[in-house]
Amino acid sequence: MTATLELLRTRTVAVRIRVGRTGYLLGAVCVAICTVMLLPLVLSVFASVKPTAEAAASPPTYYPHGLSLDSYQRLWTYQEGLPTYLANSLGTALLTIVLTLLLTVPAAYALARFPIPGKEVIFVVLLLALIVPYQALLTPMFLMFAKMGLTNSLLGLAVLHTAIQLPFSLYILRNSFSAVPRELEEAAIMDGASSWQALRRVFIPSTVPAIVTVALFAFIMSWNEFLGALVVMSRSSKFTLPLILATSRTETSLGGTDWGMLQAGITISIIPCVLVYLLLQRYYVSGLMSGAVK
Amino acid sequence: MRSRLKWSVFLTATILTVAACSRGADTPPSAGQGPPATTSCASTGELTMWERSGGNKQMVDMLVEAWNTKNPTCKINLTYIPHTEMVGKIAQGIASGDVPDLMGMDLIYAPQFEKAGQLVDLTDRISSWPELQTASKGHMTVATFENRLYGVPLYADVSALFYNKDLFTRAGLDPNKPPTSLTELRTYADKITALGGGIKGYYLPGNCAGCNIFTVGPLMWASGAKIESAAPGDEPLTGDGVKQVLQFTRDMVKSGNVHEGDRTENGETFHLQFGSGKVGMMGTGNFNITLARQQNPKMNFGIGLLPGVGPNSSASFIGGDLVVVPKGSTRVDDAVNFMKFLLSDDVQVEVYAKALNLTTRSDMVNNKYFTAEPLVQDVAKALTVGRTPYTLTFFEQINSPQGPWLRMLQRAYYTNDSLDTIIADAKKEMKAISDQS
Repeated sequence: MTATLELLRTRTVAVRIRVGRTGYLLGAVCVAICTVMLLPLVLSVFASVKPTAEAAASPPTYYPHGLSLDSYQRLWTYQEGLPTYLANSLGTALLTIVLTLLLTVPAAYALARFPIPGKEVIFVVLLLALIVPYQALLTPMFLMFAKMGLTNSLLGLAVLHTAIQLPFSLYILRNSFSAVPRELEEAAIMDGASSWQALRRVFIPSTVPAIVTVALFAFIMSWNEFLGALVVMSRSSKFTLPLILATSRTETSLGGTDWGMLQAGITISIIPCVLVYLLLQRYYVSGLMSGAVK
Repeated sequence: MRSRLKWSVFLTATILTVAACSRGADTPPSAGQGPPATTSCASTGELTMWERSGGNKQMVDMLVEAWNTKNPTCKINLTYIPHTEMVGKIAQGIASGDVPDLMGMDLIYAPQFEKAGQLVDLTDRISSWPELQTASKGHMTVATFENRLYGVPLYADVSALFYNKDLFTRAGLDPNKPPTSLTELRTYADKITALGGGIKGYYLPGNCAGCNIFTVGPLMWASGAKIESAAPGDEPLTGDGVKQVLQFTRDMVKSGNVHEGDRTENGETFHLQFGSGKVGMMGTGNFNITLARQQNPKMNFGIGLLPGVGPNSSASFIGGDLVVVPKGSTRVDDAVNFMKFLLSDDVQVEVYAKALNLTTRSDMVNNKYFTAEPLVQDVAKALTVGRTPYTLTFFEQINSPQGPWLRMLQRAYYTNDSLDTIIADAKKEMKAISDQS
């Protein structure tokens, strides 16, 4: 009996040690991965608060030897001022979210639930746009926008960003709508709900994670998108953040970079993305899963 | 970045094609005679202007500010376009009719736009201006296409040999005598490198086509060589100077006179190298005077001319921007008046010279501001020996990161391939590019 107990104790200790070792090992791997992921961000923040001369030092220093907000100040007052560019980026991103949802929610609903002839073909055709790089569409779209007076307008840029985002959003939402139990929809119809009411009261509440995912992707894409904004906007007062970062960073005609200002811009532009991601992370992850495997 | 560049090039090509198709066979738009030019606005209402970022922003801002102060009823609204995207953006603007009233343009791309009929021909309006007699020759060369004139200088960037006087003194060299030939340059570099402590005698940007045409190109010109093919059938890379300079640069690298890290320099930190205080001599531009001072206020430095093989030979690359009027502009009179304003004595002295930037007229270099600043006087000498390459395919032949010019230099710097083979390969590629234009 004593021997058995002793054996059990030994085994438990061994398992604990093994678990402990595995735990430490896993922890170390996680710390290593986090370091690799976070180091560039940390260095970027460090570089943004270096005094101008130190930010331009060659070879660069790893951590700031003095603190200065010069780089932020230069960016803050660049051309029309950073608040204008932040407002433009934010306005475009919000408009993109609204337009994307306005178009994809009804479309996905119809493709998921209505007996449309050849709807699978329609769905595949709509998804084909994923294969064509949007850069290839920019020139014709720009010429069309120029005729319609949509250049130099946030709405025009939001329309372009929506067009880029549509296929992916439709894919996620259509799959999510398909996954809503048919019984729920039937119950709503039995209670006298119209198609719109069913959409509003049954489908949308049960696909919130997917809708949040679509909104998040639209936000991040619009916030970071450069080439489309460059093509559509030609007035400094209408530039978005990526454009002004590309503009302000070049210091000489040979491509010389103002590193301090660039890092300050990067730091500022990361903040909204990180905030939105952290706040909605829960929905984001489950939304991705719901779109991917159903 | 590469991917963005690829798409930008693709977009530019598409837009230029669309523009060319929609233009048909018409001739470049001419602005006609127009009213006599003044240095004030001809009408009222805001003028829109584009300029590339990474040009001389400080200078351009001052010029626009001076104009706006003088012309409060027709201020210029200036938009900086990202430097690497400027050519595509202009082509796209012209194709769609969404153009600014006037714009600053990297002078090197001007011939391409002039040939395509995308700039307004200003010959009848400005060619008789006396100010143009002394305007920067390099700028005026590229502002002219088939004897028609399309613009005037906005500002000038010239290359010269910057040298660290502190390091010269430590190496036992005379700090008031920069090298006047490549042989001297090599000897001085050896002595400075021998100081040790991470100090090198010279600097060669290993991965930057633009930096090399700006600073190594003049070494070849000063040695009697010609680099680019100006037009189809024109032979590029001629003269013994090409091989002599390539041999010189190869020897510099092999003898350890340049930092190992120079090999990856793609232009992004090129402007920071001289101010680091670790480089004895370096070909760079007048923009580096202010930058080096900000970066390293205690450093003593001087400026000489970029030499060639022969004693007292020298050359320089005149870069910078032109002011031009894009096709479709509705305010040509005002744009012309802005040009007149830029070339006026008052602006040349009280804006350009006061800010210690090069004047764009050679007869304006003797002014009170330059007299008080010997470094600017020294760099201004480069204007007299400078030149600007004239070709419709400058980007493809020279400036492209994948182009024959940079490939030739990299093979010369970092491989043991025969220099004759390297030159022959580059020559063949440049000719092929030029023949297609």
